[in-house]
Amino acid sequence: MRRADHARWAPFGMRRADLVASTLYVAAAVAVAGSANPFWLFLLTSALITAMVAVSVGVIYDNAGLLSLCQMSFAGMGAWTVGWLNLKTSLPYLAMLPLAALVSFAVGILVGIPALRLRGLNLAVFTLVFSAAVARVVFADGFPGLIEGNRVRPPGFASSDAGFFLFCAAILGLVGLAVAVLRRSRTGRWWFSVRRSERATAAMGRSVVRTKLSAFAVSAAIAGLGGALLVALNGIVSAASFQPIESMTILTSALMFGAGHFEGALLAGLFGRLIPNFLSDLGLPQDIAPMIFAVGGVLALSQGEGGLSAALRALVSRLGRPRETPARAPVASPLPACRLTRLRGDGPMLDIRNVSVSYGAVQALDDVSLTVTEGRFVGVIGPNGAGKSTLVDVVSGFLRSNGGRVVLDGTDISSLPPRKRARLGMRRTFQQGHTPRDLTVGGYLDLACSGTGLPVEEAVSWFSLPPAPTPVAALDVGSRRILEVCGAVISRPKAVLLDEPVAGLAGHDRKRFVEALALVPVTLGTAVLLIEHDLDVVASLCDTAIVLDFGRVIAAGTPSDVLSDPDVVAAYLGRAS
Amino acid sequence: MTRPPRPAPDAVLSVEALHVDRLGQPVVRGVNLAVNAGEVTVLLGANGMGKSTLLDGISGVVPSAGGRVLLGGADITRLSRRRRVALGMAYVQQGRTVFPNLTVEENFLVAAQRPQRAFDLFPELRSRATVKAASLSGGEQQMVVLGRAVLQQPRVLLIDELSLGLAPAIVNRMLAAVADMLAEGIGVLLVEQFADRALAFGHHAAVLARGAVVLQGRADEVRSQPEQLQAAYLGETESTPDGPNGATNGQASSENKEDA
Amino acid sequence: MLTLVVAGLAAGGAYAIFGVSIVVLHRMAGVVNFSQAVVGAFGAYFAAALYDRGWNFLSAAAVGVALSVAISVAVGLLFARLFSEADGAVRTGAMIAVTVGLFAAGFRFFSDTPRSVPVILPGASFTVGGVVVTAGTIIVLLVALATVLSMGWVLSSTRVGTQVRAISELPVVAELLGVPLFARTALVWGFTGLVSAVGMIVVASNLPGSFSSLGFLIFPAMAAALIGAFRSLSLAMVGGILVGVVEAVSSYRPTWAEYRGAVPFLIALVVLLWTQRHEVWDAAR
Repeated sequence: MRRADHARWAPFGMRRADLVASTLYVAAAVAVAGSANPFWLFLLTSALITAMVAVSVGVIYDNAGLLSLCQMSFAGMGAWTVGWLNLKTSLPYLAMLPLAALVSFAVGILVGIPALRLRGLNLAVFTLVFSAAVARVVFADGFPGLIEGNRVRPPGFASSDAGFFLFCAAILGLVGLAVAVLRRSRTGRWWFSVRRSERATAAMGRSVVRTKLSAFAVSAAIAGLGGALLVALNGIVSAASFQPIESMTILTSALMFGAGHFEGALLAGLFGRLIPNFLSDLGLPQDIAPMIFAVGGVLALSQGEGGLSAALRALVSRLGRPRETPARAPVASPLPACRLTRLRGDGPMLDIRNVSVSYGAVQALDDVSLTVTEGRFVGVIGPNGAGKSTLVDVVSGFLRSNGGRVVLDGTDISSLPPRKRARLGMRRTFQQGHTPRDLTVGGYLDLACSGTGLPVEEAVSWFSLPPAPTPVAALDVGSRRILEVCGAVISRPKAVLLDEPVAGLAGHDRKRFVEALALVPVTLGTAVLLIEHDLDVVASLCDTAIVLDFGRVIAAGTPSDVLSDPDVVAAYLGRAS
Repeated sequence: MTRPPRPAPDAVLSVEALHVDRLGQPVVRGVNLAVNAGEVTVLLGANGMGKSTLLDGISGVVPSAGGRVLLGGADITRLSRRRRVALGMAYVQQGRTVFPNLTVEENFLVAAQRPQRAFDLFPELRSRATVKAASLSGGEQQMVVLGRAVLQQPRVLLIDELSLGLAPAIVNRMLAAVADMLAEGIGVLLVEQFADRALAFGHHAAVLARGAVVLQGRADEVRSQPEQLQAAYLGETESTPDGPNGATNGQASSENKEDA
Repeated sequence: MLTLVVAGLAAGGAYAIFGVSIVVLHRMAGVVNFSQAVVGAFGAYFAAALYDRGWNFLSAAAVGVALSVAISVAVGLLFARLFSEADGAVRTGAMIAVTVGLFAAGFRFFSDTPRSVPVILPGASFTVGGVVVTAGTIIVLLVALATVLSMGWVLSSTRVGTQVRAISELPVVAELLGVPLFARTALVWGFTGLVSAVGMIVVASNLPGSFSSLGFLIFPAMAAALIGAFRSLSLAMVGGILVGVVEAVSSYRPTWAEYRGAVPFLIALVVLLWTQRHEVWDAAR
């Protein structure tokens, strides 16, 4: 049952669109191989190799959101490895290819480790300086075999121009397919998650470092493979092909064409090689091609992410069928009793003791203590700026408190990083929705519960979410928030912190969502700490409400008692009292 | 219970059927409002009802999706933020938007060559003139923001959540400063989540629910209709998004809210 | 050894000039300008071309500097127009695209063969402790120092500088306070363009090279900016000089000299490992 569900929205095999695209690709490759002259074959083969490096840019930038400026250095590593093996050993070329990818993969990890905590700017600068160093220290002395005149030869069956073209086309196609499958796998979906929010990724129990490292290494290996093919195409390569400026140029064309999709990478490769050729046919200098890419890259970036390929896909899906609003699942049926996994006990599940936080002169939390019992709701209310979100950050591990402890089910988790807290069963949601819009509803829920929670179909119907194959991008802000809450809940955490889950939801949607939420503690035995502005929601869900004001607990008790407390009225409703 | 805005010949700011979208979703839907010189119009409503988005639309931070904004009778709907500022609009955004790494005095210098008037309004900031805004208390930061606004010598001042996270005594200090500005003839549009205090302070009031005005009138009139206010303010209306005017289910939790 | 250190000072001063410019622009405009050195190289090469046609040095240099300023302002306004609300990755990506375009344009106009650039104060040098110090070295270091001091003064002690800092912290709020965003943006970009061009003319007369080798001064300059954590002007200057000196000293032994090109990387590595040793979360809550 679960497997079947899984296969429907995230198959590890191929989809129909994949099959169609693959067929077209194979047919085009065979047609070109059968008809093109050697000049064009050479040009198109080098276009395929460039496309391979563009695919690697797609993985690192479009999927994982990391700006790497050393992709051509990885390609150079692959080329260098093949040259060295060719000079020193008698291995067949086919055996060198995986070794070249492996070496680049390893170098990717080595470069990645110090860059783990880097993002955005620092990562771009680091990889840029790295590529300069590699170009000057490793490549400047010449590639192995360059001086000796030791040419790398493609395998016998691919020794003709057409044969080698088809060989490259096959490898590029296989890599493209593998990347497409990988993108839908958990590994790939985590890349998208880390791209949208590192915090949300860690809050789901996933190591941000590991996720980035895997993207970096996979991308390096693909680039390395490209370099290994390039040596076989040219026989001998020089350092000039792997300069930092080449890495920047390929990134620019990948940005322009949107290398996050295979067709974008292919276009980047084709135009990267064909435009200079067209220019010289027109009697124009070839070297204005990078200027064209620069303009295209800037324009593409100013139009939003994804480049040309994303725009094309949007166009195709608009033409293909009118975008209907995704149908919601039928109203949740009561959950089967067998789902009741933990009996509601009276033990304290989440115990927050004497937690304090200050930002400069502002005391955001001042000696806050509270306890949430297994299978219960505790509501936290208070005016804006009372420290509610700070409390969530401290309990989930994103902020360190000055003193105090956070105890989850008897374990002191105060010194653990967020992902470890999440793995121990301490989950949270965010005020700003952080669900990655590149995933589907089912794909996200599968990540969020890491395959250990409720079946996705059941979760979708519980929270009246759109069907599992619906892209998150098609959801409105309110539904995305419900999705995030649903993900946190179905992982069956011991405790969950919901940061204003109802905000922005109105009318019927809100009513249904609150009803679904009400079932969480009884069904899963989870302790829920609910941060909420809406007093009605707190009053209807919670047995206990706690009022924060200026970082201090000013009242605690049943919602009705607390809300009639004059101090609370003064603080929360702003009465001058 | 909605009434059209009073025809106000002396209105320094008029908002006519203004629509504002955010992230492609309509958030403010056809709001009419007026602010008179030297008076306060209070904009009430629960969180997420579109109050901040309305101010963003009026000030040009977010482009409006329909309707008009008139400043002193001139249509400014299509003008840039900076043109609006030059014509006399000042906007204090939510969350104490000081420049954190600038000193108090530098914060003032951004707005005007001579910060004297700001220090006149908040003499307590004089001794803090060379302190970085980041290390001020919340109340002092809000004073810096208000001080900057007064240096702009505006005709109309939009204030989003003056009292956010501030103790009642500090809020009173802020309101006193706003009263000083009123005395100079500045019109104020004040967004508040705390209804009682705001209604006691303001001259006119409008209550926003789901992006539309559901209750509007003189502040004391609005105050004298606690049921209407409570229903609108709690946002417990079951109405459709297109016509939320007035319809309420009237059974919001009664143990907590205004009974004034 | 001391000779090497002095030789390193000349290169280090050049790195410092561009490193400081990068820091200024990052702090004030939120963009890492990968084209800082290329923009300067445009000015220097254009000045050299005019000089070759018989212009006198000062007017050639002035026109070259003006060209760099114009390019820099154009890039700045492009960014203010298209990417003022974009996130960091998008801005960085766009900057890389612009850099690629500028490099290509430079190759087109100036080709990539090394050319001579007029030498300022030819032959002037003096000897300190047995080491010859050229006037060029002194000028490079003075330009670097003057950049740090003048930029520091403008930013901390003038109203325009205050407004520029305000824009860099909260652009929308600054605009709501009536600060002219475009004019101030153009000012910052223009200033860094000016510094880069002046720096590049001085550097190129000191360390002649091809257009791309001048443009590639960006790598050590980035390492310098990194040492300044993209915030501190004076640390970036010290960092630039440090990179230059370490590079020069690394050629002390022939076996080390091979790794000279890796010096900026190794320094960047150490700096990043140190500054990023604590877990830091991405900005959005």
